[in-house]
Amino acid sequence: MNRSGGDGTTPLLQVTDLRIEFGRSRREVVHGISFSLEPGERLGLIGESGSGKTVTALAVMGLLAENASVTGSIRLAGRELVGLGDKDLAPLRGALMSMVFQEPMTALDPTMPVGRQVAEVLLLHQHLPRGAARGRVVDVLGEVGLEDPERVADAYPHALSGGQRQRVVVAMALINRPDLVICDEPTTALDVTVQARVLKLLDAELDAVGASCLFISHDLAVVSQLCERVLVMLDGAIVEQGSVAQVFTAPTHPYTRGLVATARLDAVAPGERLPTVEDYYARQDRT
Amino acid sequence: MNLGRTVAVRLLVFAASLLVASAAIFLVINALPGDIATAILGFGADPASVAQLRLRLGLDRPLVVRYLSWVGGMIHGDLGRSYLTNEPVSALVAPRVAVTAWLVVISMLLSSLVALPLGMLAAVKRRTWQGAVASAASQVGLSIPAFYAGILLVVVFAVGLHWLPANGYTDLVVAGTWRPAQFLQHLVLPVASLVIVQASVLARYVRSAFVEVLNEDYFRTARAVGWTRWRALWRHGVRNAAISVVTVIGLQLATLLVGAIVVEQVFRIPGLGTALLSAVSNRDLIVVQGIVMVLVFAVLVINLLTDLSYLLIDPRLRGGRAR
Amino acid sequence: MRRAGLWTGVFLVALVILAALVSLVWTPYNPLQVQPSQTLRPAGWPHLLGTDGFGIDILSRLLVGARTTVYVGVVAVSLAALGGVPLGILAGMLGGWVSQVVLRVTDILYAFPALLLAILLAAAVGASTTTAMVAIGIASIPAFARVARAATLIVMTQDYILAARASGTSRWTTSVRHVLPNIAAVLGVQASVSFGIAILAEAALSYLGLATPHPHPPWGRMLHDAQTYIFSAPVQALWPGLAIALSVLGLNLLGDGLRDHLDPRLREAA
Repeated sequence: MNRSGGDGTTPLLQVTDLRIEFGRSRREVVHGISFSLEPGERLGLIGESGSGKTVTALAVMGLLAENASVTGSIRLAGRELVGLGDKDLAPLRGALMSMVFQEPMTALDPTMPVGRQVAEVLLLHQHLPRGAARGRVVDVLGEVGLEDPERVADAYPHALSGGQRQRVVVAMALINRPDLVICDEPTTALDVTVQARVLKLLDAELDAVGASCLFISHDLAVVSQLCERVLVMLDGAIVEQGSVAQVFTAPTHPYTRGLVATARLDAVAPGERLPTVEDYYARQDRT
Repeated sequence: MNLGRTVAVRLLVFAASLLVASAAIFLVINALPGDIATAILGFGADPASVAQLRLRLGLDRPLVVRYLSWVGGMIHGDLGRSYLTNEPVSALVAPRVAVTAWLVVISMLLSSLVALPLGMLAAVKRRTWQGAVASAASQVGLSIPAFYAGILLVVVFAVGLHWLPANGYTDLVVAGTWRPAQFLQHLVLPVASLVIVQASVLARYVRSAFVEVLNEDYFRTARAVGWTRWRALWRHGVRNAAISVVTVIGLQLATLLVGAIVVEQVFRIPGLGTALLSAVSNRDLIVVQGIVMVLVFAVLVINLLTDLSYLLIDPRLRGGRAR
Repeated sequence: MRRAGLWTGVFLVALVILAALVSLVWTPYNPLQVQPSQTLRPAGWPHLLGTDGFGIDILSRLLVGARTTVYVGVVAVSLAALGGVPLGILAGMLGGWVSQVVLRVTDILYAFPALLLAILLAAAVGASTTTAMVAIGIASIPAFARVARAATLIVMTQDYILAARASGTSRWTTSVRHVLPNIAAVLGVQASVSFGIAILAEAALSYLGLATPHPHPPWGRMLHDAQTYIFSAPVQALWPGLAIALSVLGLNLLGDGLRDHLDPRLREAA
């Protein structure tokens, strides 16, 4: 397994001074963050809900609501994405970069068999005869660990379980072998046992495709299983970054220390009160 | 619940509704204070002729028997005979059904054609001025009574500009020759007055249906795999929005039918509404009863078809797990 | 933006009510006085909106006509609410077959639009404002029943209802003391919408001559009369229709505005 970033090469994703504002009041929710992602690298993005991590991911995909304004720079494989219109971004989405969402129960169109939804992603970016597309879809559904992929392809989403649906979503994200896969809390909505299996699948599939991954989670433990580097985001700013080992063993920011303590409940002596993030980092701006 | 059972249940509900509705119509006409024969002849009529009419209408029989014979006749397409002309009601109704149907169906199709893009635009552009204009236009449109719209259209296009006839109707085929030009000429203004209102009502529902779709996760998924906003809406939005829009179109067909009754009066179109209203003013209660039943039957059939069309659109209702 | 809609609605509705009230004590001219020498005057002075075919001042007729509009609307909506709300609350609280029966009955009532019901009643017992109001009221029952049921279902899941029920409060007390106040706002929205529909139906009926309460002809009848002079005095038809449209617009804006102020959970029911 090659998990090291490519030294000296240009980064796959280079985000510089990214600012995101919403609405007429121009409320800023991301305050000029910068980070980069090397080809083949997996980067964890950690923070609580409302910290701006999902908004950051949607900005990279160009999927923010129309009332959002994005400034700064997002370069994907050397190409500037900020300022591109929907028409210019659409061909990149699903081909060069793709996304796995948090909520598998609602991520698929309820009125269409899932096989057709996967085939659509294929046909949208590659010119293939319909029959060939069907074969490829069934292959990919098998690769993501779905049993009886022929039958699954003809099923409507409501007939599948959450885990099965998330596998379908993963298949849609990977079928065109993108360079960048953004995973937004892909296992949060799943049962714990299913969670572990889907994480393992993601791990294997990302390797098979050779894609980079921006992995968003509020859970340090999950990120540490998949990623080699971590960014910690708090209130729209990056407060800490480094390798997983570094952040785990020697966190510098008090908020990160709190995160690590809550992620390592095995270190708590029996009978002692469980730690909370607030023990380490008291918010000043909570009103 | 499997598909066959679902359809059977819907058909059963339809039949029951038809029965209850026909009983209600029959009771209103026959059991409300005042004898039907007196109502027809007027309160000053002499008792002898009232008694004679009662006999002719079979009013001496018990209410239930009369109801059953009315229903029995309808099953065979017999709606009774007009008191005034002795003409079978079905013969009176049949040619007029076509006239009203033209009016309603053309209006509904055009309303949908106007409302779908307008509602979609209002949904997608809901945060910009285009969306606000589209919403305001439909708000105004649905406040205007169709017959007022009709009168205004006549004032502008018939009285002012002399482009179109102010009223009247021509059949599509008169004595074996096709007259499409005259036919359409006479339909433009009545249809337009119905469309102004219907398209506005519909556009509001289309808008809210699409706003809902735009907030759905699967819409974001569709854009994430490479569809542009508009193409994602077309590919994955229309079917989902259709589930709620179809209901509204079904319900609106009923209001359109009623609207047509009034608009027929504005333009002096010899449709079902005109026949109904002249029967009311002639106190021809058998005809009134027959035409109201035909209209209610039409509404119930539309509701049934609306219900069944869900089964085609929404796979979740088609068996497997229920919603 | 949205607030502007609400206030426009309040303004228009207030205007109609004010017109009806003012007409009780004052109108520019006698709305019943036929003046053969003054027929079909154009808008201007002293007849601000002109005169009709009988020489009657149109503005005066409009003011008096507002009375019928308000009267019919209030009575029809009250009838509908009195019939529909108890049914809806009952269905929402009891569920099961009660709910099914209520839903089926409302389904069947939906097949009788207000206008059709009014025509049927007019044929059976004679056309009058009363038959029109009753018909419109009955036809609006299902809308109230459905909204009340949907809102009750939402309210019934709230903790305070569970607490009341758990502490032994009877169903009846619960419905009057807890459910009704909590769904009142939703019912207000429905009342506003139904009022607009009632005005439209009444206008259509009086236009058709099926709700003629002489001596004060309502707006719909004025439109009908104006249509007779459509070639000689086309502008006449403008005013009564405008009055109808603005009243309905006002009620719709009011309903929408109220809905936007509602609790988002209950908004689904409205």
